[in-house]
Amino acid sequence: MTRAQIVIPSTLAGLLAVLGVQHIAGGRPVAVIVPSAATTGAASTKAAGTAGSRASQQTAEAARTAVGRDVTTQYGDVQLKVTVKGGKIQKVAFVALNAYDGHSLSIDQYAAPLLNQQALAASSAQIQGVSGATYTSDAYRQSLQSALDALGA
Amino acid sequence: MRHHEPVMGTVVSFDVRGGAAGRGIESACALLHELDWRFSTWKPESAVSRLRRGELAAAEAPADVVEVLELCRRARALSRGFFDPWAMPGGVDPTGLVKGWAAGRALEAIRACGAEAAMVNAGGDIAVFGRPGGRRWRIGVRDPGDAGLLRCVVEVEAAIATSGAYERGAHIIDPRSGRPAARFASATVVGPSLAMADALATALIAGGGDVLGAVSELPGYSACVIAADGVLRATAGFPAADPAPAGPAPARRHRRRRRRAARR
Repeated sequence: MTRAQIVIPSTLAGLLAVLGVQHIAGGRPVAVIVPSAATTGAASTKAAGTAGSRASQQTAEAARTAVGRDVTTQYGDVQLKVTVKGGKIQKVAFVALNAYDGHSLSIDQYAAPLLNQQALAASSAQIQGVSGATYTSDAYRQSLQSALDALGA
Repeated sequence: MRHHEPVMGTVVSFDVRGGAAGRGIESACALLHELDWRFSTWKPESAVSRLRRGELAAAEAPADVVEVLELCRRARALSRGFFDPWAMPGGVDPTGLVKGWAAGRALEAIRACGAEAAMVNAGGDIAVFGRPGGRRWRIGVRDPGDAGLLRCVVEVEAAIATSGAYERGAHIIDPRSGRPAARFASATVVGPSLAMADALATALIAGGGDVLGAVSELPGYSACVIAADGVLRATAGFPAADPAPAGPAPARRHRRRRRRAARR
């Protein structure tokens, strides 16, 4: 995989890292890799914790980072950075979101991505109600709320 | 006590704890049907339909119609113009706020009957009071792409409303362009008033980041939005909770069962 590496001044990089966005003036999607000293350090610490001879081999191996091609979404071009070590994906991070109209950038100014954001089955959550876009009377029958209503006396 | 009532073009679910639950639900349902008659844009004889056709002056409208229009004016200002019932095709349309407002009124009717805690869920927009089992009401936010999955769990004190185009198609109009807009796949607002949360959630779908800034500055309100690429973001103070807190979590039981099966 080719590595298009553009080193950006550290203050700007720091600010953009806080926003979770690499927004390049001019609006064109550009592959950006944040100087990866911190990432590599964290990755080695993690790998050192795993047991076995293969793990120690992995510790010696440096973490490698690659940036994927940009994907066009409704809001702009998105790119992901993947850190691989010892043949395993260690980290997937969001490196670029070049909004067509600046909207995605303003979204990240006000709302941070929530961690641990896997979708979960209602059966594994302890809830009393479900919030969602307004369903019709017909769609209610397929809704999680109707299942919760059926559970009650 | 639980109950669900088809009204206002959707189904309203009730979960009422403590005494007089039956009486509370009965009076809340009667109120919802009455409000539906007054506010429906589908019933030609409703006060709102007559207002839309210009047969009824705003000043002569029933007191609660005047109240709702005043709330709409406030919501329009707070949402930086992205919730605007006066910019809708076919005349003034307060529908984006009425359902939440009506559910809030229904909850007050239940409270007045003496219940200890209650939840009213008007087709996905929820008003609550009290603490069932001594804990806050826990509400899941649906995944916009899959009706069987949740994206987060929220501890709610008063109100939570969600908007998105996944149930009824591209029905949210951007008042600035006059065309359908979907800046997010889903937008959820938590706050003290369900009428306002409902209007702001709709405005988030139409206005995106601009409205998110407005909501994040509004005292008592917070939001979470799910973008088309599935990324979930929340403003500071959004009351996201652990999906499965203390107690025997069903997920863990499943895992144990699977491990036992693997051993066999």
